[in-house]
Amino acid sequence: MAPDAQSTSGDVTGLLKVWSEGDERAFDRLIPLVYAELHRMAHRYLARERGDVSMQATGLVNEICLRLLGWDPVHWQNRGHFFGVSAQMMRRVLVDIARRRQAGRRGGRSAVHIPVEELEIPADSPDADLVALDEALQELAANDARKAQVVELKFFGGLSMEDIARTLNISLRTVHNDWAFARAWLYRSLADGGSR
Amino acid sequence: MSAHWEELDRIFAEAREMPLADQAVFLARACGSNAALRVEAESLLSVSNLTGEFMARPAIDRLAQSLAGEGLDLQPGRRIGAYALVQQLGSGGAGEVWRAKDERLGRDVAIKFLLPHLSGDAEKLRRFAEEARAASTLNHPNILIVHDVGEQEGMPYLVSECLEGRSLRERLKAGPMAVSEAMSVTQGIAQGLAAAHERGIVHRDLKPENTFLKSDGGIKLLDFGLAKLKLPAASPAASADDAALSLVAGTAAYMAPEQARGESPDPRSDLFALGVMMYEMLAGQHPFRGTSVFQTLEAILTRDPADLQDLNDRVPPALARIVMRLLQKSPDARFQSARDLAWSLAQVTDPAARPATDRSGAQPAAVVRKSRWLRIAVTLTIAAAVASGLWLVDRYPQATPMGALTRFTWTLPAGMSLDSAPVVAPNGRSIAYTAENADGVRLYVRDLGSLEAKAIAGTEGARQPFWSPDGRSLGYFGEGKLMKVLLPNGAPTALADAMETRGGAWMSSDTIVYAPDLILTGLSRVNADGGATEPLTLLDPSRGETSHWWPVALPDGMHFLYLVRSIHDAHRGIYLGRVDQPAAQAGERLFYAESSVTYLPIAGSDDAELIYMANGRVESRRFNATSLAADAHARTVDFLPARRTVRDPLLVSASADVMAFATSVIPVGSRMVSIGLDGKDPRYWDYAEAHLQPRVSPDGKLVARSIIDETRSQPDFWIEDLERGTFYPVLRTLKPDMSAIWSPDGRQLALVTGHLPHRHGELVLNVIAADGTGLIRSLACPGDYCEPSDWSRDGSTLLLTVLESENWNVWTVPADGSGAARPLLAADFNEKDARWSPDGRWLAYVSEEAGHPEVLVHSATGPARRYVISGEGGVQPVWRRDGKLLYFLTLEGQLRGVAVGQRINGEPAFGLPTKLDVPTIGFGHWGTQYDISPDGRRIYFMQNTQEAAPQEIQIAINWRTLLD
Repeated sequence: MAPDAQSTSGDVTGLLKVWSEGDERAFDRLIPLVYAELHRMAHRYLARERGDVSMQATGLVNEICLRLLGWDPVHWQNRGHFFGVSAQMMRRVLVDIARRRQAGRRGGRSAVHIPVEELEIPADSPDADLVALDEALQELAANDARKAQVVELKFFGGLSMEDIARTLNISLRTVHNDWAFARAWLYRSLADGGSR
Repeated sequence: MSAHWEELDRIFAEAREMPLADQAVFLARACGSNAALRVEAESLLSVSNLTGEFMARPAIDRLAQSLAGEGLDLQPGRRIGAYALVQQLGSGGAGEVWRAKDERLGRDVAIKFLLPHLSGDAEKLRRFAEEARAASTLNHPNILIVHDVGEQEGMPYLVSECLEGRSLRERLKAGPMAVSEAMSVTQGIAQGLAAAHERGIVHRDLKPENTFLKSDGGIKLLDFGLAKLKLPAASPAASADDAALSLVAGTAAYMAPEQARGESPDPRSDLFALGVMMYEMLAGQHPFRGTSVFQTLEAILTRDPADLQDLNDRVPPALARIVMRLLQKSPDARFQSARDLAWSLAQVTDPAARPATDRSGAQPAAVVRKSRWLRIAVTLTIAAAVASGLWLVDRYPQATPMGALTRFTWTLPAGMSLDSAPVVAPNGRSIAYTAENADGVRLYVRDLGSLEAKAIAGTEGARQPFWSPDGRSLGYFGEGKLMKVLLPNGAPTALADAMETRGGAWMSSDTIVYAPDLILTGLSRVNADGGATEPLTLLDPSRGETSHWWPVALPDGMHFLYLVRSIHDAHRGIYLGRVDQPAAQAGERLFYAESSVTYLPIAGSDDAELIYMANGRVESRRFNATSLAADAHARTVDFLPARRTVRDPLLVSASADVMAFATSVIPVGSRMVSIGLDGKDPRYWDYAEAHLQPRVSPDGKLVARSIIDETRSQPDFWIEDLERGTFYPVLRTLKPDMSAIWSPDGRQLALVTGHLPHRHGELVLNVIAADGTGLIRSLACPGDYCEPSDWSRDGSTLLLTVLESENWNVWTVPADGSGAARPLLAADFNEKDARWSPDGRWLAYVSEEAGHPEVLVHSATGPARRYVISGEGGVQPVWRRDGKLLYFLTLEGQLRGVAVGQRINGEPAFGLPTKLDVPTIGFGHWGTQYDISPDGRRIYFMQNTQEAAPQEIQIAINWRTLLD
């Protein structure tokens, strides 16, 4: 699962492996931290960033990850490596939170007079579709691991196209192509699966 | 990767860069006879033209938005403006609808709260509000009356009349509609549309979901203007995105062909949507529905619907013709106005038809309250200006190093708050700052003698400004770039990429030193006229350095100070750099610091004061600009607020005479809430950092909890003495410490430390002294992860929640380290967060045997008989000290109490869960997020708080004495 550019480093692969295989449930205990942090920063993040949200998102993601993973110079080889792990962690955390919130929502709330459909849920709202998107992304990865990585870095990691190119050691043009392709592919996949 | 995929990838990449018209030819040639490839490529390309906002913003952005919405904490009884919330009526991804009482007018209203992602753009919100009001002021019986548009804590809301009834969607689901009923609904819609269209208002998103059938038979159209609000900010005409957005929102089914093609909708597009709805009401099925959104779209663009009369022979031919005319692909072929349609409908004779317009519901629109975000912030505090600025015009030139301290306050215009440190120009005559109002963040410069700040044109989104040495230009960051602007009216110029930056300094050699990114970079330099950028300071990973921030120019223009962030205390602090040397790692640390440093030159000398934060306090230290040495001795500064988050600079700057600073900084943080279980007597403790999972000591006097330390980027455990207000760390490691539990005598705490994602056998169960004197012993943590959940009353045993091969179980371990940990509950499903009853006879815990968590109780000696306490999902059991009540949280975070009694045979008896009147407790189902005081009267838990940005700038002339 480690990005191509990082395959030289056995540590990276090892780290990701431990993480993605072993600590599935232990990871749960980290989520309150991420959630609390996100919650705490959400207003400020939104207030600050009318106009250039994506840039602030990179910062937010990286700060949270740095905070939770700790900075261990032995493990972090370079920025690219850190970005890769951050993006992967954010993906898991965000999808997990979305899944839990969906589950929570199903349980509660009665006395609905105005139909819920009236407040339509955009497909890219986190609760509605992060879970479906995550599944579609797994499918995409089975076909084309690099495109899935581009999506992970951009959408979950909040990285710029330039940083993605550097992280994966591919040309900027390839990143743009991969992103356009992956976005269309995922969009189609979600729309087909989720049409009403 | 398959050959098919590779081919597809290549064709897509090539075609994507061509004009649309060329794509078809190219695809035909490139795919040859491979029809499957061509279909696939065509479909991907067509979708890629439509994706619009889809995934355009990072996932975290949307999550943050919905979290910010949660932060509003809407609940019955909460007051929003003049309205008291009564009951939630509905909710969804876009917001929530509540019934509320307008207490001024004593009437019921509906309030729709829009999540901020629908409103991030002030201009869009303004247009939305205008349109909603314009439609409402038509005062038409078929259009929802909007009373008010306002904003609460960043969340816009819309107040309207409260309707009884159901949506057309619900009516359609309930069964077939008679022709007369369908016609009556159509007439209502047509009348409403006619009134709106005649005022130039197009609905754009008409559909059964926002057509409301009142219980008294009246028809109401909802959500005028909402469609516009949902358009992406980036698209001025919003045309192509219209289609994309509707696709995403799943409303493509009512989109007119011209909208689907990306053209601007007009009134005739609303008529198409009405045609689709009529067809649906009369035929009982959608005219264009396909199995996917794309099929639906394709049908809208290309197919004719099945003959209406074939599907329902009761539809009069004239009515069928009207519907078909509305469904024409070309707007020109449809009715040209809703008024024409209404007239034609009236000609269709149907004896059962009755007028649908609701005359009784008409009432004058309420006086529209001006809301904060609509108000143009021009108010100026004249009194303050007269008292300070005007007076200063005469006073200022006489300011001398020996002069007396003079202080005054600039109050920013209403609705505006300070966004960055106010920075004083080198000559002390102007102050630059960035501030935010409804129009966004901008750079302002105010002369000391003037009454008003001047917004610098073209500096939207600016932050962290810094002056050029000659005081004629400002550097700042905005739009992902390092920018500069020549005052007063120059055009801003971009100098370099700077994504998520922390500070810049303009050196006298016309070189700018800046932090190019938030983390994992050193400082860079670039010429102030542009050109290549170069690294200047390099991170030293062997010293745990994570970033270099906040460069500050020294008077020689050659040296600068900056902050090195490191995970190690020994390396964190302020360092000295030189701009004219090759890139190098940091040298000797000047002194320990956790924040930016501010350089305050002392008039008439080479000396300066440095102000910064260390150990949570604001300190100052003397610095000599010639020897470049800092005093070993630091003093505490009390006029600036401490506990500013380290991600932001201290809000202070100064020239030799003039200092500008902000005092009212309450950074975003968390709040501990203690509230009586009767919902009364709430008490709050506010903190800058994130605090988690409070644990009240057995004597009720101390609260232990994990705090995420910004400086160290790690959670640590601290104890707060509630009576004395003191606060001390019990354990500081480089690893996260999370939930802890008290020993029954209150002298020890058990907690786990370790890097969760790394694992590597690092997890340790620690028993530590509660007085902060350190570690008493470490116990092995069984399984892959463990967490203490209870400590037996005799002090001998700890209960643990243990993760073993993907499964949570309950274990025990002797607290004195005398024996090994042993499983207590180890079924295949999850069992966790166990607590003994105070008499030690019963065990309460969370079991997921049912597939979801429930709170169960059984005998501490074994599960002879189990009692399900929660019933509809429950987590986080906590016993009251007397054992007569067991608390838990529902899956929605509501506190419940269950009475515990005893039967004659010794078995326990449990009452039904009772709702307790305390706020919802957040942060999900993990660990135990609250605690009950030993006397059973109060609950403790954490909430997140928001930033209250400063709205005043303090100015001090002859500031020296402030530091004495």
